[in-house]
Amino acid sequence: MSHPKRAEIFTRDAERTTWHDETLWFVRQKRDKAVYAVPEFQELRELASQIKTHTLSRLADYLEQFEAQAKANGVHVHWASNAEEHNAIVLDIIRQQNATSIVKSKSMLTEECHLNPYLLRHGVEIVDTDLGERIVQLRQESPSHLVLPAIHLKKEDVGATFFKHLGTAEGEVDPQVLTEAARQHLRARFLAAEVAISGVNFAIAETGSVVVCTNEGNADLAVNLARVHIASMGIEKLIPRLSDLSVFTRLLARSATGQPATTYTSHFSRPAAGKELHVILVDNGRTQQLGRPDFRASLKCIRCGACMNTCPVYRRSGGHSYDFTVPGPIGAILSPNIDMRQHASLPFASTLCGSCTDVCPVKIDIHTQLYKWRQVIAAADEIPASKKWSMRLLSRVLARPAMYELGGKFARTSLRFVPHALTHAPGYNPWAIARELPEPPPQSFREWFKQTNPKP
Amino acid sequence: MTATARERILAATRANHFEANPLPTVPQFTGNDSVERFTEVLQSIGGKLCAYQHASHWPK
Ligand code: SF4
Repeated sequence: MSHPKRAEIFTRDAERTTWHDETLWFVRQKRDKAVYAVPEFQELRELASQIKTHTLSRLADYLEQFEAQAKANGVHVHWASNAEEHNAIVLDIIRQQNATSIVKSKSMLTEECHLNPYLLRHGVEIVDTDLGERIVQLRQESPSHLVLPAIHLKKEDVGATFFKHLGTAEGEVDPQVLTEAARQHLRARFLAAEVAISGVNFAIAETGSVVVCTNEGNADLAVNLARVHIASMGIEKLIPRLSDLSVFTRLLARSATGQPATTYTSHFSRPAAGKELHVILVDNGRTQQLGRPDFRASLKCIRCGACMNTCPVYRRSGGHSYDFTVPGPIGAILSPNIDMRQHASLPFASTLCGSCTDVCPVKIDIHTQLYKWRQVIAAADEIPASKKWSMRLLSRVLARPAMYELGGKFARTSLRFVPHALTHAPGYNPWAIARELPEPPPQSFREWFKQTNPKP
Repeated sequence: MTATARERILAATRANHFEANPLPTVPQFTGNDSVERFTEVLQSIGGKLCAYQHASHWPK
């Protein structure tokens, strides 16, 4: 299903659409307030961009440095070319431990690899411990936002989900009561966990350590209680030095939620005595994206979600309309790299207003890349036939002034006689579903100009 | 012999290395009064700053 079709499903609930739009705009405004309070914010963005570009330019060297340091720290380092290899490594570690109780904190990479359904198919149940992630897991949905996975849901939806799965009272919608219920439910899982899986926000080549940023502290609790910690990371998460981290931690939380810092910024360098720390370095299409000069800057992404909060299309179409692990403008750049045919409509889910580029803390030229993907997709003949032919026709008309003038005259005249029901028929003119066509003017601008400015 | 995932990833990554800027130096940003900033942010999130000369002065 294309993005417009899925967006149509989301926008059927006009009240939810407006509320979703306003909520994310509120987060964007919080971001602005936090950003304006840091005089060197633009300098930090430039530094972050340069550090990431430099790292990507010699990524193999930094990967080797990271591996050597991590191994010297007693960390088990694994490599996975794709999602299948990643999932198999995780399952293997779980089986070696004879573990049955697995918890996971927020990790978009494991979502991308579809780890949960894979483990379930192999008889292993995994519990997401981030509150938003747990809510969507109970509903058998995917996260709809990078940072706010359940932002598409209202407290009434959460109440109904908890009533069904956690035994809260029917109709209970008090956020405090619901959060407490989740807390009690998750506490038992934390205590029983034998293996804890986490994502990675940054991996430092110089020290061989990984850094996990959370607000709920669930990752810290889980990995400290469990015997084994598995940290899954995309290979693009590397930064060269510990001193580089300060640049990114100052940008990440401010860009994401308008906080000065995430509540927890935890460094994992070596396993605690008697425990194991595994790091899985995952490619899954990243080296392919690295090989596309026009699109490799997308690998600088630190998954803050700011481009989603600001995007007028994302805010009014919801994260699930993208049907990709990473939604929003950045997802629309990353997804065609994985499967261009399946995600061909995503680079078109943008007004190209450039707001995403303006807020991106690592200065990814998001809207330029969206525009470039459109050209790649059109050249590969992956756009719908109706769009292809109408664009061809339009380009012919626009290239011929006489034909353009004639077409304009025809439209102005005919629109006066065609009934409203036909000009605004949803199937024929979707543009007019929520808009009125303007009254056709009696003459074109050129005609008016000629008339009012006669040649001397 | 088939290459391991490690070899495949490193080879694919190395094949796509490119010319770029050197690693920049991260400066010390010392322009702000950190106590003032801390107070400002703390208050913006509903906190209250209580300053005492010594821990023994903290209210019991
Ligand atoms: S592309 Fe930029 S703004 Fe969007 S999630 Fe990534 S880092 Fe944040």
